[in-house]
Amino acid sequence: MGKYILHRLIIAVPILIGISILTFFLIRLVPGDTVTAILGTNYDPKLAHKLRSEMGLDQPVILQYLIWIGHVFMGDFGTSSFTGQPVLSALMERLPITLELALLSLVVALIIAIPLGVLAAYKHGTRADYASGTFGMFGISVPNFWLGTLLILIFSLHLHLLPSGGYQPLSKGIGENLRSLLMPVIALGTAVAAVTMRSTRSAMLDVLNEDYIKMAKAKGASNARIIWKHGLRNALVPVMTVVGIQIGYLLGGSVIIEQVFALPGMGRLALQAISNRDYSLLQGTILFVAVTFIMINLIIDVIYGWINPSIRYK
Amino acid sequence: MLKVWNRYRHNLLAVSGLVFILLLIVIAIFARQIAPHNPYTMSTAARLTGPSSSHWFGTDQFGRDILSRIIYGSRISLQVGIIAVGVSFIVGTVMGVIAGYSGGWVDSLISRITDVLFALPDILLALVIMAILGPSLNNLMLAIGIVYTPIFSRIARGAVLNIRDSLYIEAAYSMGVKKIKILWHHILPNILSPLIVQVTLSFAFAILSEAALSFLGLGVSPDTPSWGIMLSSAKDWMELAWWTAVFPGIAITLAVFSFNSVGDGLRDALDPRTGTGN
Repeated sequence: MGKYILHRLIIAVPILIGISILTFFLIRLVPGDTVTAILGTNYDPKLAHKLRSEMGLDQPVILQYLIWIGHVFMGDFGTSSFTGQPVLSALMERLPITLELALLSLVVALIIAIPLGVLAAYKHGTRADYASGTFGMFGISVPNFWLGTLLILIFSLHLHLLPSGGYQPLSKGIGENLRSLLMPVIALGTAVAAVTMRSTRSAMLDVLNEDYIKMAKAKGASNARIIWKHGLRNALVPVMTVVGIQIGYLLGGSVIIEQVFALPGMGRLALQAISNRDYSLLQGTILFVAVTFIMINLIIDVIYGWINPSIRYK
Repeated sequence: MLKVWNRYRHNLLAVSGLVFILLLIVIAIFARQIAPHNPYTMSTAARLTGPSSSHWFGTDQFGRDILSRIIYGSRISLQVGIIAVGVSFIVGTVMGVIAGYSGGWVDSLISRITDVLFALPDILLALVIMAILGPSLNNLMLAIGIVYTPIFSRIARGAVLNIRDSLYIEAAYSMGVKKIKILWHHILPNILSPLIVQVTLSFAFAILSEAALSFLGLGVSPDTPSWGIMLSSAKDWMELAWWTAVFPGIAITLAVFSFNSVGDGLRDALDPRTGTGN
């Protein structure tokens, strides 16, 4: 197991280096540099030159990259050129909100999707199966930002039941906190629920055809025992992979959902960085999201290898 | 081919998806003839009027007919789908085939590039590319195309690896057939079916991404009749006029639903072993 984790970590290193190079050079391609953005209409070539040399922007690009990545390694992501706040502290302020949104969406989606997927497989070919199939297809097709908009339209503007946006921190009580996240979680989680339900159904169908299930049936095990103990446990292995892929969707989707519901998370931070041309902030945010994403995938790989030992030896 | 169609036509969702896509194509081609109003014509007298016999889906904040804008919007969605998916299909397949076929350092290099692109959530990567290129329809198609390239590359590489060592490829080699000819005549036709399925599913993603990026203000220019733009401006007016937020969303959902169900149906029809659909 230790060897397997080490192996996965080693694979992650070149990807992390690649991501840092990509982020750094992509941001350098943005028309107009940070200095142009800071000075705005008061652009003065002399002042710009002075600022550039102060910020090290007149150095060769490769050197700039090495300096930047060296600082990143020491936990210094630079400072926002717009607010002057250190990028890392801005990220740390926003991270819990995005994580809470993504995690709640994932948990709610799994709680709904796995039993539904099992039910659809168990009732294979019946109306219930078709209904869940259509729901699943609908769930992966409906745009999350439109679903969010509709929820606001119905539950905030017409029924006045829920706040149309904004985040209530946990310090204001768990009830208020959850109320502020209820609609965002539904909007973001629906697609995850749909994908998970579909993969649970197909994994369950595969498993239910296995010989050991027939064996359990022949030995007179109850239906419930066959499905939950023998069936689902084995079906969950491929479902895990699909859930892992969904993490990327949750991180990306939160950019849009945070915008719809005015939640001050990392996605909104990235959008603000784009509209303010705050490159050091944008660069830091993207690198941070990518690293988070890679780390989560790494954890999933490890769990996956733990559940299914044959993976470790491939 | 007939077998595939026979399996496909028993899938109700997939068939209705196909019918709707054909309808969408007809609507996009004949938008000018079908649309009851000019999608750009503003009218201060008709601002935010609800659905009626003259404006079936109502009007927006500038008095423009929403139905007509949705009809013209189908052109944007299909165009984005065709170009973006075309770019990612061609570039991705070429990358993947080269990687799978040549192996060695070329394969490592291409695979690492796709790994890196995969390590960013797709909408975030598209956002950054749009921030670099600036909002416009062409840039949007390019950005979405870049984002979905690695998927095709990965699928093509996997498919090539699967058949590269088959006997018939070996036989062609030993008979002295040229590499490029083997690629074109033997390898490409045999890896097409997973790629075709991915093309259909990517169409759905492309339509969604266009709408999402336009919704965030980083897609097409604001006066373009695009479904995402319509939803984006509806945010500010929906309290007074629910129809501005409802109908464009239905259009996006239906279009994406159709491409997804066709992709699903094709996957099951082309490979009967994977019974993921209905």
